[in-house]
Amino acid sequence: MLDLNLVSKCFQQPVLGVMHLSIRQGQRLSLVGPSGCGKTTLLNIIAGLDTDFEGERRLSRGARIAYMFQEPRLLPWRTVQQNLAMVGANPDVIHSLLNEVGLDGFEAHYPRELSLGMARRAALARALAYNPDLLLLDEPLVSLDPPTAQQMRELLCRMLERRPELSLVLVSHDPKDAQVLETEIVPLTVPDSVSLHPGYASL
Amino acid sequence: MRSRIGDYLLVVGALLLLWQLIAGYLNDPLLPSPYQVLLTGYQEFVSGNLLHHLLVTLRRVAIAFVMAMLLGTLLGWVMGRSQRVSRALDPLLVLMLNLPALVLIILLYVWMGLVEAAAVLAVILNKVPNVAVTLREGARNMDPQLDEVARIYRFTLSQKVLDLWLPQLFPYLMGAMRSGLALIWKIVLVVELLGRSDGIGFQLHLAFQLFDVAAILAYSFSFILVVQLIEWLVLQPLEQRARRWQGGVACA
Repeated sequence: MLDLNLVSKCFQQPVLGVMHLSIRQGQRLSLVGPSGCGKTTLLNIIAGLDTDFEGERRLSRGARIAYMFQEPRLLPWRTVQQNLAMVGANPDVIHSLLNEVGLDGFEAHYPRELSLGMARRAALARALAYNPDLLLLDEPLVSLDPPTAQQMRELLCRMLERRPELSLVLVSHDPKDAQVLETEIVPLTVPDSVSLHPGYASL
Repeated sequence: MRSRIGDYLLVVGALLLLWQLIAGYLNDPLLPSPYQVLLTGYQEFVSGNLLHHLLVTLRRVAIAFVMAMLLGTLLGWVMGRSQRVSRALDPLLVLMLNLPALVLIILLYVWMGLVEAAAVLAVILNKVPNVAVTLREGARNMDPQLDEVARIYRFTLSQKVLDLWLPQLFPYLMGAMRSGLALIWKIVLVVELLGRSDGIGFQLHLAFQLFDVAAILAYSFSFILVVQLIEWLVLQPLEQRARRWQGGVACA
């Protein structure tokens, strides 16, 4: 479904090196590594948001990618219902999705009336409402308190079980999440060149 | 809400009383009392003069306002989204912002003649740079994260405009509209005074020649009243409706 041949990605310094990723239907990957290793950068390249890299990205015709960002990024001036409708879902689908993520009754609420955990679940519902072939999750559990994180983890498991055809790329700093969601782990490391410039040593 | 109206009436009443006291003390036709101004306004209204000139002015204000908002918003939007366009047009914008309204009015009258098109165009050109500067700020402050959401979920152009961009630009649009309405009707009066034979500006010109202060005040207050009504009946309800998502926001 998606083929990525990455040669390199630089900001001021190289962030990502040579890498090949091929994602088939139903395949589930986790990008795991310490912070600063370029996980989110790679996810943005996969999503097609970042096109400023050396290499090639090929997406099958008509394949749909949904992206659940680290911040929920709902439109604050639209209700939960309207946010889901924005990506093209009909009211029945919206209703069952909100039920699935445990947000029934919150259709008419604005995002600022939701807690972070709820807003993330709404963002997950929106991603699913888009009816994607490939779902990208960027640290879906970060900055949630342990019970809420556990709830989200279980929700993601259930949601993935029900959709065996859905491909997934998960970004996480915690290898445990990758295991729980039964994904293949793609370890990322901080490239050597990111270490301090030699010139700094003499300062 | 009740106390707001109460406060408003209290301030207006106190000012009127102060005015009445000073006018009564001076007893000079150059400072007529509120009652005399009201009487003059009523006489002008009955004769049909007030309404005629008010509507003429209002029409010019409306056309100039709509055109200036449209052009200024488009210009500000493009400048806010593209650094290159902003850099290229910035000198022109600074020039237009600092060009006195009077100069523009005189030049257009000289070049185009004392015609309606010159009058309205002069007002529009005076206001467009203000709107553009405000909206450029708004366009620059838009959330790039939400633009990414729009790209991922392939929002249509109308979705981007109505659901993504307009809500973010709304406070800036509101600001431009408020200051725009106030500025535009003042410039329209100057335009009318200099080169039109109807409208409130023209009537003020006549009254000035006769030193008829009561008429000057009556015509001025009638338009201030109209602008205040637009604020109450159009702008504030619009704002409250558009700000529902923020919850209880106190209105200005």
